[in-house]
Amino acid sequence: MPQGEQRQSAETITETERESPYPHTHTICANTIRTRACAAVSSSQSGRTGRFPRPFVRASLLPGFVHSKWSKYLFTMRLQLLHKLDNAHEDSIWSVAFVPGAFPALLATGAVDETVQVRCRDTRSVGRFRPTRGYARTYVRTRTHSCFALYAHAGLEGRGRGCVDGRDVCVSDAGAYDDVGELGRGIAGDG
Amino acid sequence: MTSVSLGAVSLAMDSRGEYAAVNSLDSHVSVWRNDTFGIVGEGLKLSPSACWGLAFVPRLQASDPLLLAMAGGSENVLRIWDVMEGSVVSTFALDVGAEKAAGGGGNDGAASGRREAFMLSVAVSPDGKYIAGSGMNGTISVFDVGTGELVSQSKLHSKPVRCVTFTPDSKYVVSGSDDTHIGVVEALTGKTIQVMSGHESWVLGVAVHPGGHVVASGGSDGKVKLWDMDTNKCVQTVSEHTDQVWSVSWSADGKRLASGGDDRTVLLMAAM
Repeated sequence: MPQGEQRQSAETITETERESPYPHTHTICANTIRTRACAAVSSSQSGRTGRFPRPFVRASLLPGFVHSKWSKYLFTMRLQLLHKLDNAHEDSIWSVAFVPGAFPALLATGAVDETVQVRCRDTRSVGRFRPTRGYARTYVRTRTHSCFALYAHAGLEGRGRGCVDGRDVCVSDAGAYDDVGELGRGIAGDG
Repeated sequence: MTSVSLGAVSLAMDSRGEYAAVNSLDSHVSVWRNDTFGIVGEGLKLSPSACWGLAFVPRLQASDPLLLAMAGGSENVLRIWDVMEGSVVSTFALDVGAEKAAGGGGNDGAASGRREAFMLSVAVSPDGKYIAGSGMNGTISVFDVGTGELVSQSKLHSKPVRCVTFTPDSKYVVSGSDDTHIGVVEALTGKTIQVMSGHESWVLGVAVHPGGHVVASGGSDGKVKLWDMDTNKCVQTVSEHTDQVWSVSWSADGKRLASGGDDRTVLLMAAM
């Protein structure tokens, strides 16, 4: 392969990778793989081009080569179920929303049970509130073997909010901020 | 004292992650800080059914005003509320004539038009220039936030449109409707770009991936579907929910998708 042609192939790869539609994921588009495989085959078939000539290799044996018939199944974004939290609320959940930029990630859910709960992923415990209406204290009970920790409760009824870290806790307005901070430091994982 | 009486209809998150808002079924909007979970202000109390969907106007800097867009429900308007000032700064009213021209309204005159005039959902473009609202009559209306003018109106759907959202480039509006379809319209012209079908019942929630090429949807059939906007096809269906799915949401980095529905279950999924 002439030197100019090699440079052109390299530019094609770079350009395709830059145009990858999912920059936040590990997805790589099929064209990138095909271009990369074709460039490798072309280089190996020419034999003497390049500083390190390689013997002839079938394209289908090259790492990363995928037949176009299967590429649409392999290079499309897929979802994998991480956690299923049953009975997250006492009634229908009408709205869910991630908190942008929060680390660890926070997920807010709003439901017909008149509560909004903000959850944080945690493989150790899950908290469930037993809210008392009005300005009374809000009691929190924790459970194990689940994948969410109830980060805070925005039930808003009594401005009560708090967090859990593996034990039953009782929170009120006064201790809310400290409790949140303590939980934030104690949680691992990217959510 | 704030409350979420009768249920939390809609949640919205500030683009900087500092604030969140909830709208209860009795049209009481409350805003709180995400770091302290302290309530901001006294909230906004509107007449019943006068507020439905919520969306924050994106803030580029922390000093930018905290503006919350609201779908006006039975009042058939879109509002922008300054949370810190506690006042409504903009109101975008739909012209009945324009609505009928786009195909909205009923055949039996103004009474039917009023009955169908119910703003269900609102979305603000990521660049903050446009605000989109969808209604019970199937129309999708886009307004210019700066001038207040109606930019485009689309009658893509034949039934109520319960959810709208912008693509990350602010060029397109993605909608989900009771006609089981997911539509993509151009924000500036109202031109239909794509229509994706696959749900067996109402589409109740849509969310565009931050990459802009994938849409997730939740429907009354209990399914969460993933759509490739390039090929216009459904690429995956998640059937873990046992009842209708009201809402789906992507995390800001696009690595997680969450869904919730009538079965009281929250699903957390990883995008790969």
